[in-house]
Amino acid sequence: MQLVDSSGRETYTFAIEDEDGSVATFYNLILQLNADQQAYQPFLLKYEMDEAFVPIYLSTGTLENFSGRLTKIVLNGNLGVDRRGTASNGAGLDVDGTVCPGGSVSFGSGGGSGGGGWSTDPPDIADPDPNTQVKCTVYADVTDWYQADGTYMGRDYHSIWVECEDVEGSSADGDPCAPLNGEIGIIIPEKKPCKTGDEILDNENIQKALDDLWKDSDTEKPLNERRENGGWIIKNDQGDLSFQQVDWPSDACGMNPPTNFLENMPSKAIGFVHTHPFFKKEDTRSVCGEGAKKKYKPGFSEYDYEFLVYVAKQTLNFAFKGYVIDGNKITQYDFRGPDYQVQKNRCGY
Amino acid sequence: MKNILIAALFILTTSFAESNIANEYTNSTPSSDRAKRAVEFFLTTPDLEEFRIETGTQNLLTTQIQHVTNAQVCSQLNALVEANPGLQSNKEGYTLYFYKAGDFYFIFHRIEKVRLGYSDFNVISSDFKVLGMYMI
Repeated sequence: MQLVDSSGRETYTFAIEDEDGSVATFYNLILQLNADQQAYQPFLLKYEMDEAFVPIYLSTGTLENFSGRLTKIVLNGNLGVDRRGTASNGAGLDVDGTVCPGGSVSFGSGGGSGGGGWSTDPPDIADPDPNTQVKCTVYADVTDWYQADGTYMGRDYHSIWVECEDVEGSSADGDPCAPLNGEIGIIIPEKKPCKTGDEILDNENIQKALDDLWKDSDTEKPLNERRENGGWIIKNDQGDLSFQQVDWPSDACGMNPPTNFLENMPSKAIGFVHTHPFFKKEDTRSVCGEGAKKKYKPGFSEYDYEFLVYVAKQTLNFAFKGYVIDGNKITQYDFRGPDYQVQKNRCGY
Repeated sequence: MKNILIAALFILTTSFAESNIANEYTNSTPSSDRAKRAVEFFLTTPDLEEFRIETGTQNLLTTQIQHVTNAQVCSQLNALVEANPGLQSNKEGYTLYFYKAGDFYFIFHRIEKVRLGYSDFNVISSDFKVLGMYMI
């Protein structure tokens, strides 16, 4: 998105793909051009909705009355820009970023779905943390265009995304966090559809149950205070879906069903869902053992799979499904094993 | 008829005894479908690819999986477990398994009781060096 203010200053806003897939957070990459069409001070704006605003956003798809945290991350790398507003450094560019102190924002009347103007108030410098710094890597999918005679036409960057991680260090010198002047475009990510195509996951009763299951997993707490939770997905003869949570001993890395758990399994159960109370890239070694993943990835464990195999064999229901919810994805699997797992984005819960 | 029954009983008893002697002789661990599936799981699960790359096992096929029965190899693997606390399990009810695929050995413990969660899986080189100790 291009915006030109009354002085001729141009800014370009790029939507950033959020690799973690959270509906509550999105990024925009802002590139500014000076009068000589040179890029300066590229930065990211990170929008983090608070818990109360997420359902409003999901129902309206706009940022009107945005409630949450806005973080400006100044990119210290050299991002060149041509007049067509395309980053010229391409895929794999490492860019150092500095997190600016938190500021307050207000939205202009155009701030809504799909973009629009955003007027910035001078940020209130609150809770500055000079020791906070992030390292960001900017990636882009690049296409070079040529005429039929081979004349180079230019380059397009279709998709730009940034991965950032906290690093120790101090903020850069200078004043890259100075208040913004003029307008900055916002590109709000398309609202993720709440239909996954999976009859079970798209059912409102199940979605409510999954939401409760996740909340009961205490994922806002430190790793060692979180716990797995699970329950049976039930389909009655009329085709209605319901959920029955189990109360089995558990910790952050597993659940221990009693030896007679099948006796208490609902006769119409068609699947079992349980949580992995982690978010992508979290280091799980401190709670799950030294051999656990340094960076958690969505999926199911071998014991999770064996649990499903056992239930399927004992009930002779080889269509029985397993689901694992973590902070980013829902992984569905069945008797056939890892090759047949399907991962879907979490949807509204 | 009675003679046939006695003969059958003798053969069964002898076979059972031989099986026990063989196990004792080879220091072999048990084999099971469940244990074989654990190796298959390690070799095929997408989100474990980083572990396979770390250990160089990414090109192994599930058709290469074998239960380790060679007496000399079993002795070496047992010695490795004894020398390495990280390869041991002090939890009650867990069974030790030795499997191999290609030039790699796999040492892991499994409990028969059904549960959800993570379990150990260790990758060993053909010269009995620990390449990776994982929870899968």
